[in-house]
Amino acid sequence: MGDLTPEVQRIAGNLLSQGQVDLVLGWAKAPSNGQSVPACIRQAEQAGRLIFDQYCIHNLATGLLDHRDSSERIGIFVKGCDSRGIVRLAEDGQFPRERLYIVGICCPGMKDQAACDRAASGLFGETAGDSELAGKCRQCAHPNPVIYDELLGDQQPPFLNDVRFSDVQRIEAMGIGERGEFFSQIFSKCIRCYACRNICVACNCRQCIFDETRPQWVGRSTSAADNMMYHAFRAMHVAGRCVECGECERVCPAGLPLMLLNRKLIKDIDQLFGPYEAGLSLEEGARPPLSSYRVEDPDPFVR
Amino acid sequence: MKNLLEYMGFERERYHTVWISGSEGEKFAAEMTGVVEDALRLGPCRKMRDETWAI
Repeated sequence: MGDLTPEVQRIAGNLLSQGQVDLVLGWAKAPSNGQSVPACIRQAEQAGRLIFDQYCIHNLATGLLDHRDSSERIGIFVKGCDSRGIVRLAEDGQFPRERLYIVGICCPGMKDQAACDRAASGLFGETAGDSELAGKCRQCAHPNPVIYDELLGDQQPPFLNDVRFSDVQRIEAMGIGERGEFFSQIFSKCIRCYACRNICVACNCRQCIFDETRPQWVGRSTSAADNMMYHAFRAMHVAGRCVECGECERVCPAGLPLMLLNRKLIKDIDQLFGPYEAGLSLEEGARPPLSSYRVEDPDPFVR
Repeated sequence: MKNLLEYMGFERERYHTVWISGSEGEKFAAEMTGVVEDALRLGPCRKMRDETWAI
């Protein structure tokens, strides 16, 4: 991949100076530690701050939620997964497509700065692969943007599409007791910081069930019961709408493999109601499978 | 939902969805007996339980 930073800066500068958009969402280098972070610029002169490198892993689509009540027009840079996030927001009626100027970037796969740092520190023993492609990119089926006004970079092949659900299948192959033990252990580490919910582009409800206190649907404590409830709830709430951007897993401070739940639901929904993948195309009035009813929907669970 | 619960380690028989009309008292009774039988056969569910739920 050639360096796209000059292109990114030129496009952002033009969009702002021509008044086509009021602000641009992209990535920049944090002055404090030189890491790639999401950035929002409003003046054409600031376009020089923007960059695009292999660490631009953040999904910027979620950032649009901060602007959903304004009337500003927004220029946004998206990778394949981010573009599906935009379809998600538009489909959920959270953000009008008309207010967006989308610059798609064909994504060669990103690296996770935190994982790279961990691997480089040598403190965590053998972490082969962590300095390579980020975990969330290793099972990416759609590296190329699915919705855009302008496209940068060369079309990329999907990554490891054949082993897409390999970890889900590994768990499905376990015995029921073993699975229960496996997930109990995982969720016992959850500190209920709600980072996975906050970063999630499918978690765009203004009022979240986990914030409600009357009634309090799920307890706030980090007990085994409440943690498991929380994660099962959240997985079901984004079922059929999760665009597999893997941000929940990336931001988790406890390092929980949250996509194990989401991918299981993606796999099941694809098999039961599919073929279906969330957020691939923006169609008028389209609804995810779990939000619509067809007489022929499978219902073996009900007697 | 049932698939997800099973995936997370909950036995299929612990979860029931049954369509029962208000006039189908007998069906309700039969189904509930079935639920109890299933639960007794499976024994106590210790998943999602810790010291705060000591029974």
